[in-house]
Amino acid sequence: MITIAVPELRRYAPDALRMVGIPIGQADEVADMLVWTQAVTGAAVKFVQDNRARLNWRPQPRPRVVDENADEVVVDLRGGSLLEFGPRVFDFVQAETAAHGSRRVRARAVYGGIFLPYLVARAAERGVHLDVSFPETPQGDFEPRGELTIEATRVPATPGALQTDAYRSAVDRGIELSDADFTTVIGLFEMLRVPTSERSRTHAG
Amino acid sequence: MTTTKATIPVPESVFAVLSEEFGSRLRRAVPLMRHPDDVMSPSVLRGMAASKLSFAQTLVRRMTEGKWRIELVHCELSEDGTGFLAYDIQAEGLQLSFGVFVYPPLPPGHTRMFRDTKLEFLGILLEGPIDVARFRRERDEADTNLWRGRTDPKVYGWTIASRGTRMFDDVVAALVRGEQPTVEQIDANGGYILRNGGFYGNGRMGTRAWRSYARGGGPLAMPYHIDLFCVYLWRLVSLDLVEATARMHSPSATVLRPSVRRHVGIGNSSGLGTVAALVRWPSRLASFILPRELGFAYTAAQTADAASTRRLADLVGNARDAYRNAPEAAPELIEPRESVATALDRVHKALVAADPGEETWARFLEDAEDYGSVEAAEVLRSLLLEVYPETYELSRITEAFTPGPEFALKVDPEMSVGELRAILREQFAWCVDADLESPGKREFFWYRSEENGENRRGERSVDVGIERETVIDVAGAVRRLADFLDAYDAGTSIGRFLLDEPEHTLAVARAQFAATTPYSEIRASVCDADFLASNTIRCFLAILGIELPTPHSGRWVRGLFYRDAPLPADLVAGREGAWGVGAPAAADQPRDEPAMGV
Repeated sequence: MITIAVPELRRYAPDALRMVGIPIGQADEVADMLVWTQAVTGAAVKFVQDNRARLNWRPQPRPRVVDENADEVVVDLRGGSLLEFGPRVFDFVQAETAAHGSRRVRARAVYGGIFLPYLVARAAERGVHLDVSFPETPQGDFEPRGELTIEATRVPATPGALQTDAYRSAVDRGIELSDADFTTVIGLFEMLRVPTSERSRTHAG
Repeated sequence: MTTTKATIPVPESVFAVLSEEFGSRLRRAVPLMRHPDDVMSPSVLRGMAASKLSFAQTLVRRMTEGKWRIELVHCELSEDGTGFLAYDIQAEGLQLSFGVFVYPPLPPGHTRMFRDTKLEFLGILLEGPIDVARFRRERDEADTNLWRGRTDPKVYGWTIASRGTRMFDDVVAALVRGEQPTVEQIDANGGYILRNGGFYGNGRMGTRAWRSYARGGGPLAMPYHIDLFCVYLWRLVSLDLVEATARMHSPSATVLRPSVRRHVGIGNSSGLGTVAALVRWPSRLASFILPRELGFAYTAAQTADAASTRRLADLVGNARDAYRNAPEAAPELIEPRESVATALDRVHKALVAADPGEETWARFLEDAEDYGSVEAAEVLRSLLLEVYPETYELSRITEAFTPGPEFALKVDPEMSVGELRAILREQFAWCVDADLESPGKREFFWYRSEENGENRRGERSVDVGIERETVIDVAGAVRRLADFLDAYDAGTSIGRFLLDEPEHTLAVARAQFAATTPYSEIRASVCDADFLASNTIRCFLAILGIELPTPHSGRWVRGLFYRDAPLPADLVAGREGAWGVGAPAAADQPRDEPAMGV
């Protein structure tokens, strides 16, 4: 096991995520989710490693609203994950809730339920209470192409909902990572670096 | 020329961290704040001057007020110049220790680069009392793995330094001969004995996370204070080491005079990485610039009475002299020092001739902008803060907001597309309306090299690695955002827009942040062929506290930390003394009084 500091993982995460297909414009918010999840519930880095090929699947999926009525909105993630689209889906839920007071959103063809605790706490900080249901397999894993149901209600914001004891403890003491997870993070992070040349050195500064 | 626009929005939470009296006086000055288009332009960033709100200055003030005690306890040197030093540090109830390993010197004249793997000096800042075994373990880890090494949260960070010039050897030789280097000799050789090589903490290699000790408001809670504390320690190491080395060569060697010790600074050279850092973190940039601009507005609102006019005249006169003696650089990189000095001289004469009365400083500052030097006007604003020390309280804003959620980037998904378009028109006209299509306008991309992750620029049409660009191309990203928003109805929520177009998340967050917190975005495209990185590097160095930074090229800027700053004996005595461009030149000051000694 290796202890990695929270800001250290946060520093590595955006670049590492770029190498599994997360665009530069989303890398920071996804990094926040990855680090919190690793610190509080664990297994976030393993999720990236386990799904590396799937995350790099091209063309990449893009979420689309496929149905909406007075009762609910249906978003099709087309096989994408909550790592890639969780904050976007949940921000959409927040916007819908602001407009309607409460809202049900069904997100279909999605995986990556390990990020739900973060997304629920994040929504609480922003004044949205969520009841979420996501099917689990008999092995306790989430469905690889499951349907996530979100019941959202406007409530007073809960500042600091993400600052749980577990997270603060991780900030103070660091996060224990397996050697394999640490290697994954560092390996992906360094993949974003560009090979050097004499010409590139002339552009150094 | 100042842009005339609506009153600058200041987050209400800013006033909550200030004292009630100062906060209420500050509120009245808000209408005098400068517009971000003026402050964040390359020409103003280039001329930005260090001030008493800069990080090195706030650290020295904190160390002096808190009477920090820094004591050299171990000093073991070998004939070959290698050795070990250890310092015990008492900082407001926090005990730290600093261990330093001295490696064989690099060849004379070798300038250590960021990518170099050989060390000349390794320092370790440790929690608790001196632990030599632990220091050695850290050294062994650095020797084996360098920046791939691992440690734990007992360590605040590793830091490195190098000699860089012959000054080290020259000072040692002088002391062996029983002679003193003069202030003029030190200045002629860069003003330093050692060069700072950087601090590697806040989680790097598993070191303690800054938030873990910033949370409680302890002695190192302010951003960059721990980095700059290590720079300060290198200054002490340089002074102690030349004396110890001289003693090793000759038991009758003399020691540095207190006036010389105090004059020695620490060399620093900064490059593209600082630009990347400023562009990457708009909320941090805002938390650095906003207190300055609030301070400038506050001082502009004060009455220019006789006492404050006299005080400012003294400061400006000294700054004029400092500029006349400062190292020069290529004219395309900085305003010629003499031009700045001439403008400061005009300011000085105007102050001496002024008829103090009921006028505020606002008019005087406006006139000074027409004296022919942007940098002189910035120096004047910075010096005016010293006339009103109550403005030092503004540093609380940086301390309170840098680690907190108030200044964090986040998307407001409830905003409408129409509202976001309005923000882009108001805050980002500099890029939305700019020509980004012509040749050269998006020439560069930024990346990190395989060589220790060094920040570099490549040309889009020539170099490999475009798909791995790192620094956010703000101008390009915001322009693309504007283009994409055009396809949506004004009433569409941003939450819905970003569900469709998630790649625009960061651009949206930056734009929304800029609407509520000023000074978060530099008004320049970092990808433009004409982008001069040294302008932004100078801005960053001014924020850190380097005075008179000097570009070595368009990508490197040199400067000195802590010249004439107090020494440990001064800190214990609670005596900061005068230092900075507003202080009398060291050669003119009566020094060597025993209280300044170590």
